[in-house]
Amino acid sequence: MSEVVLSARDVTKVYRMGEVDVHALRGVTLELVAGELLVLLGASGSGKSTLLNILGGLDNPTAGKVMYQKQDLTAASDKALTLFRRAHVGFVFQFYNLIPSLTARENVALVTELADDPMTPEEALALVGLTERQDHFPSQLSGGEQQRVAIARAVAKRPKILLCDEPTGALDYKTGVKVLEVIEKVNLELGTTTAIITHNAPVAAMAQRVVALHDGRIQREELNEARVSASQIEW
Amino acid sequence: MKALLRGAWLVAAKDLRIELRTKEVTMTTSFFAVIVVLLSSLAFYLDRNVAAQVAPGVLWVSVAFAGLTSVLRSWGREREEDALRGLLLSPIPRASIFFGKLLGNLLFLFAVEIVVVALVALFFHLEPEPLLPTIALLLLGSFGFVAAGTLFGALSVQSRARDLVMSIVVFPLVTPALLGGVVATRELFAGATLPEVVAWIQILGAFDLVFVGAGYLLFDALLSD
Repeated sequence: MSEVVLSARDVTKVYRMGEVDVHALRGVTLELVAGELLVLLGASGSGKSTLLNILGGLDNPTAGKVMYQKQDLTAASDKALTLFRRAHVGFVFQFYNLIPSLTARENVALVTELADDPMTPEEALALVGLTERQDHFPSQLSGGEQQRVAIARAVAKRPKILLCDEPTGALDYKTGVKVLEVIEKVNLELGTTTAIITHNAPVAAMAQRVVALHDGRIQREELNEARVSASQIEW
Repeated sequence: MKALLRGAWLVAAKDLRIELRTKEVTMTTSFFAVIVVLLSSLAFYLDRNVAAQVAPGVLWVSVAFAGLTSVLRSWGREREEDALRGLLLSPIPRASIFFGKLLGNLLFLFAVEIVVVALVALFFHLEPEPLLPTIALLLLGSFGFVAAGTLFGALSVQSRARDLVMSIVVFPLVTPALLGGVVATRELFAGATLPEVVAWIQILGAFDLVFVGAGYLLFDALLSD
């Protein structure tokens, strides 16, 4: 049986907006299995970003339980959550959050300097195919290349889990596919458990497992029998 | 503790590296401080006696505004491309980010202070004796108000009302440090010795400890995700 790395049980999240309660998640149960590539699919407002934030320890659920291996994240202190994120989770967001005045290598080095068993910045950038561009500043890189630097930065500390929130959301089709290829490569070569959240249905074709969210609930969950490589995805 | 110091050094080194490349903070704040000193000397210099009375105010006003401008610009860099989010998700402890930004801001300000003290001494024809203790006072005072500015300047990254944060929150908070600094400098220029202004030095020291401690304890909460 495959090892469950991260799990959510009956997770709900309610935001109070003035007088109104907004139910972002309504009893979501989900497991992330070691080494898998999962796509969380859903339209805007379906709760997928909220779920990803809770799984990554960036937010707490209103009710339910989130476990990282044997650690109960819902009972963890802020400090413990911070340590969990630092040690075990790499994040990739729609926008790249790179420091504009540092080169690609220097952006990645900020992470590798303090991690326990990191790759070198050069190794991380080679993994995402940016060896030739490591001394370039973000403004000298295309959007796709900046996202690949962000992926290099996220995986350089060798996290157990990689959480990607709309990683292709700001990119055109061609560069989007290139970014997905890099995420797929990280998953295959490093064995990093990976979750990609997207509203873009064709991206689901590259996943081992697809979970569709709608209105804060899991609408469907299926193993992808006809999985294709990221390079074959079209939208 | 080792991770805290190492993280702080990484953040400070990052800011110093960026500053060496752009020279943005030191150039703009130095230029601002020089203009203040120059205009003040033209407006207020009547004779040596008046100059010694006016110079402490000119010195501290230019250093205070240059310092807070520098802090704001330093945090402004973290706002660009939402770089702060990347920093917060890195393995660098939050307190290290505070201490690193503080160290970087202090080094920028110390560079400006060297220029300002030299220009004030030149334009206001100051005697050399009180300059050394004045520099020590400036360093001590700068430490506290840069710590307060660094702590609450972080709020400016996430707030649209960033200028209001500085004028409503930071300026009133740093007033005791500025008052202490100005009065102690005035006394030194009037011929007092260091032991005679020790009470002001103690106030500045206490102010420094309060804001460095507050930064260590509150910074995480101020920057919660």
